[in-house]
Amino acid sequence: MLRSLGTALAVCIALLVCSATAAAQRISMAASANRVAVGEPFAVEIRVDIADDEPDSLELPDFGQLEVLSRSQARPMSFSLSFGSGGQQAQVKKEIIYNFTLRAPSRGAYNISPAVMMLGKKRYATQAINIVAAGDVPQGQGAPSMGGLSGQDFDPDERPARRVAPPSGLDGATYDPTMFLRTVVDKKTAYVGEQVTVTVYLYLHGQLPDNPNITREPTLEGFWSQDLMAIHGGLPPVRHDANGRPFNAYVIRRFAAFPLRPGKLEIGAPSVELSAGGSIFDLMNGAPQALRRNGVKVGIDVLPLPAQPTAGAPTYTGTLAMDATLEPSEAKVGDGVTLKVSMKGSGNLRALSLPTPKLPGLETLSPEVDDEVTADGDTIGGQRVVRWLMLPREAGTRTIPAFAVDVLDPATGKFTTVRTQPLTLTITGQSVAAPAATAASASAVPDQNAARFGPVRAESALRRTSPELRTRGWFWPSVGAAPLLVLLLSGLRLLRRAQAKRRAGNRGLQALREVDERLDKAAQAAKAGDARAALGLLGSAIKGALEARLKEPVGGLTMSALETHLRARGMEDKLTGRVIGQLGALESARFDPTAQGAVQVTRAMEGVRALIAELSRFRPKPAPAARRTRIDDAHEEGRT
Amino acid sequence: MNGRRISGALLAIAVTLCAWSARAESLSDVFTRGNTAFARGEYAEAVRAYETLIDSGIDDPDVSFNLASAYGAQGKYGQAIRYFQRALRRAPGDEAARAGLKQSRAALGERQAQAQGEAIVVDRPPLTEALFSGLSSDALATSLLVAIWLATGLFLALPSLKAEMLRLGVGIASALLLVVAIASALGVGAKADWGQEGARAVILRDGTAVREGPDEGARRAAELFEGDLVRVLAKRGGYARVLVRSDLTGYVRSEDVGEI
Repeated sequence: MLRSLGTALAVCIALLVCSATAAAQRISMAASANRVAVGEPFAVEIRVDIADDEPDSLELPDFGQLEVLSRSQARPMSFSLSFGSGGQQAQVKKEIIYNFTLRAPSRGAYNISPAVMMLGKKRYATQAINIVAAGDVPQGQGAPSMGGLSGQDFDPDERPARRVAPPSGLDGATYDPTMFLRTVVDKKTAYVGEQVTVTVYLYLHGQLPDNPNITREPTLEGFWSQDLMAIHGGLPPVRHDANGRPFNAYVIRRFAAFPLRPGKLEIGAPSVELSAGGSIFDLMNGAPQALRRNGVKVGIDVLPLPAQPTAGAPTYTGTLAMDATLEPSEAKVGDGVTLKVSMKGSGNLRALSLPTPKLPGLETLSPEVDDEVTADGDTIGGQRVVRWLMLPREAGTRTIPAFAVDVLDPATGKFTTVRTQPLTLTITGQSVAAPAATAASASAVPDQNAARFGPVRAESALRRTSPELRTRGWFWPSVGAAPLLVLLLSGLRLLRRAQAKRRAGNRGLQALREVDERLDKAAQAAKAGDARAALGLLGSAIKGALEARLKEPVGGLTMSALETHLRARGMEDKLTGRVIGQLGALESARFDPTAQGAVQVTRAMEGVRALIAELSRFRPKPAPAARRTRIDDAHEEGRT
Repeated sequence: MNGRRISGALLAIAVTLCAWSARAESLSDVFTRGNTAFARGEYAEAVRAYETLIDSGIDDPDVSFNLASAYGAQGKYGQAIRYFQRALRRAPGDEAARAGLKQSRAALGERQAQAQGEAIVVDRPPLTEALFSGLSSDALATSLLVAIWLATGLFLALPSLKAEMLRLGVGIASALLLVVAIASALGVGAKADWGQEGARAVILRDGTAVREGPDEGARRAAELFEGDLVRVLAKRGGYARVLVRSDLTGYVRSEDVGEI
């Protein structure tokens, strides 16, 4: 595990090094998005690092058919001091930054050629960027791709990050070179009930140091609103130029507002406070000061609904689908029947109320309403389910008439009528008295808190008592089996390792026995006058002793390889020298008749015995992995 | 002879099917009857209908919710607390039941304060309960089972993995899953009231006497109020042996205490 962590750390360091190397490049080009909608503005930034020299020439890219909406150039400079062993060092970093706002006029693929810079005799070029334009920008929605720069890599399947960029212009916002508020609405004219998407941007020249404190929320008198940020979460900032100055535009509020009445309605001016400073200079200058800014109010002209086709029917602005059911469709007098109407669509469904059906002989109680608000992109919609409990009082057949809603399509300004199907209820049994008589029954004497409880649930799965999972017989054995399995397999693994170790130990003992046998055979050969064989057996005994200590074969190694390997296994230089020297001397003596006298052989035998005794005290280090594998292979070959 | 046997068998099957369908329909009807009674303000009738369902073996959170609401509407807040808690035990995420429980406790506290001048309303669950309040016992048990087997699988797969980064990732994932399994096991334990005796219950009547023995003549050891929480250790002869505090056990009449 530690090794794995070490590897992870190494990879992180390597990545940091790579990113640092990448940061050192002289010229770069990046686009805010590789996939854009037709007509949607997006940004391209070219950054030239001129830390050392001014470029001799700089060739900006050819944008081809892409429309250039705006361009700006900045030459920021940073100055840093570092203190090291070599004393104080000052570093000046200069950059040239070109910002372009572009737009694709039609669908298709666009290519932005590389930007090229000449510095001395060296040529630096960026990569080309491919832009794919598809679909039109939805009416009234902010361009989603004006945000952070996505880099130069082109991935056709990549979806642009959700960003909401302000459109060009300032919408009457009070400009300030440091910070200002801007309220953007997607439409200035809307029908009653039509969604108006409102976005409040905080324009800041620089980075937002802290969460801004909104001291006054935009007032919404005459609107029903739904917070979009609560549904989608916060939005990242967007680079945007205002009056030729680069700003970061932060979305601080975004909501859907539905006008409830016709006329001129206003979205109130917000106020924001931002604590500034916090640097060492602020400490010297006193407490950091807060920046406060006020936004401006935005007016919406709300149009009255046109004449509706169905007199008396409820009206709705948006899209709508309706369905009605009756459960059960046959009931006895006094039994409850549930009438359920489900409505789905886009728009302000919570403002849509249906009339309570009134039929003779059928008492209908107050409805139970369930709402589910969803947002498809920025379009608010969802589902509203209305349930009425109906109590039949008289036998007979009743037809519950169809519910009809006049739905206005704001795009066309025309109504269509959405209807449910009529429903038939068959009631059997004898008629009962009016509910007023039963309501006063003795059992219905709730105390004053009774109104706090209810309504009750109209539907139930009527599930039966079932034992909890934890009480089932198989549950705890199933849970316990997992750690037991781990213990069992870990135990087996340890057992196998111990066996392998024992086998290795046995191999060592056997090797030592072989060494002794070889020494005895060498003594016998010396007695018999076969000095050459005796010397060979002595050399073999030394190698056998080495193999017994190292637990690996060394027979195939050359003298120099053996010397290196013995050192790698932790043998001291002195002992290594003796081993190599003794082996070399024995090898030479085998082919030198003058060294094969009885005295020399006896002396060699004593030397070898002393060396083997010393080798028995040697404690080798573990073999390197690669070497061990080779040795294991050699063992396998030996076995086969 | 054979024809008679077949006819008999068919008749028996038909009777069984009819009885089964009548029963299924009857339960649904009882539920609707309870709802209708509730809508009319006939809360006692609604309680009777919902209790019939509970006695028939129904343990549905919606039925418990409706029963609790009917008891609450009658001013029987002890019972309301009991059934709202039962609804929450089956559906821990039921916000309406949670609100109803809070409402019942508040109403009970209000009434007790009016009667006695002061009242203590325990509104906060114990820490272990609060930690796992949004999850059901079954959800935690499933999470435990899945997490422990995934952790085991990943741990056992570790030695066979060659790539160091993959080993690292799998090792971390295995450790995280183990943490999830341990947390789930703690949750299951908390839901099952491990380490605590008896079953959770609510006192249903103000002034319930806790006696030293299962007899009306036994000495009163304490007096409990409606909504007080106790643990039922055993039931015997119309009395329930309850644990009131760690240092106080006694006997209360069975009808004065309701198990959650």
